[in-house]
Amino acid sequence: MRLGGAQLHQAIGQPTALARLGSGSRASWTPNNLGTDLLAFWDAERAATFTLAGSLVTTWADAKNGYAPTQAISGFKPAYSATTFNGRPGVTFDGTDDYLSLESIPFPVGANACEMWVLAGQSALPADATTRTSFAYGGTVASTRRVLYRAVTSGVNRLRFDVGDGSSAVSLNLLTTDLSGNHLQRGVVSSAQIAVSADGGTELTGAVVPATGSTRTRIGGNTANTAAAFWQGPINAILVTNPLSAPNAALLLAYLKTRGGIA
Amino acid sequence: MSLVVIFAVGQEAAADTYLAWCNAHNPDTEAEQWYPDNWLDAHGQRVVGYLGPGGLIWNGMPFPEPEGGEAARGVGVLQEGFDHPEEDE
Repeated sequence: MRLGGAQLHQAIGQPTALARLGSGSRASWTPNNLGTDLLAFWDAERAATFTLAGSLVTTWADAKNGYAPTQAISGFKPAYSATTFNGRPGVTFDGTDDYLSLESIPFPVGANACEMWVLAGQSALPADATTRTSFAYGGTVASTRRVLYRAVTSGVNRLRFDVGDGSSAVSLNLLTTDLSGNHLQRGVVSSAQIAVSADGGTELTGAVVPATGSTRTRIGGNTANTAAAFWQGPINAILVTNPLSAPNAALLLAYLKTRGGIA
Repeated sequence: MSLVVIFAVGQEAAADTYLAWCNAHNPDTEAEQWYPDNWLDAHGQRVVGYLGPGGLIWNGMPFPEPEGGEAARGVGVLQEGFDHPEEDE
């Protein structure tokens, strides 16, 4: 019997279409396969990237370039655990005062494009109306930064993505996902538009010409001189990338959703 | 949310006393200090993180409040979280 086309590929175990879209096999793909498009990768599953005091996180270095946000005040340090995020490692922020700060920005600023990805659990209840930041960078005020955060809308936890234009901030409020529990947050910035989505779902867009400043980068808090809007829950991974091709975005999405146990 | 100790306006000296006690009993000996000297809530009250279970996780476990902690807290009020000041724009 002669086999052709799809039958032949199936018979000899060729990689599926998804794996053919990017470099590396499906089994071995990691964010490192993004190459120079990967600008930073804070990965809680790499224990060597942490400097700990007990189980408190003093420094968390990104695995790609070593950017290392830090926290010198003991009471402000988040806590590392090997099992806190879907049975996997995570850094838990208490929602009261925990954050990590990098007093520089090695990422695209001004109107330059980037993507911000956060794989995290959100544990604040809807009755708590406090805004809570997972990841942000830029200047010290809303009009000069890029920020992924949680807020409450009509009694439901929602993902929001704000990017400032120098005068004010365009704020996207994603109403299609209840941001309770583990979710994958994605913010996309281009020179004239921003977009936000959760778990690879429907994207919400807005027009803005970003005017991102260059003061600091924060995990778990906003970029104000006195940090506020603290995240509550565990964070497993944060990535900053250049704008990704659709195939690479799909691979990264699948990789991170697997970690988070997200359907 | 973590437990913190709130000191009313006018009780700054009591807040300093508690912070000094926390600094002396903090197991994180490499930290600059336990909490900032001047952390205020939205009402101008001094806030010092609680050095005890619910305020500190140490080596994965709730940290038991060291002996003398209750006395050190003095007039401070233990509560979960606090109202943060509005961000300056």
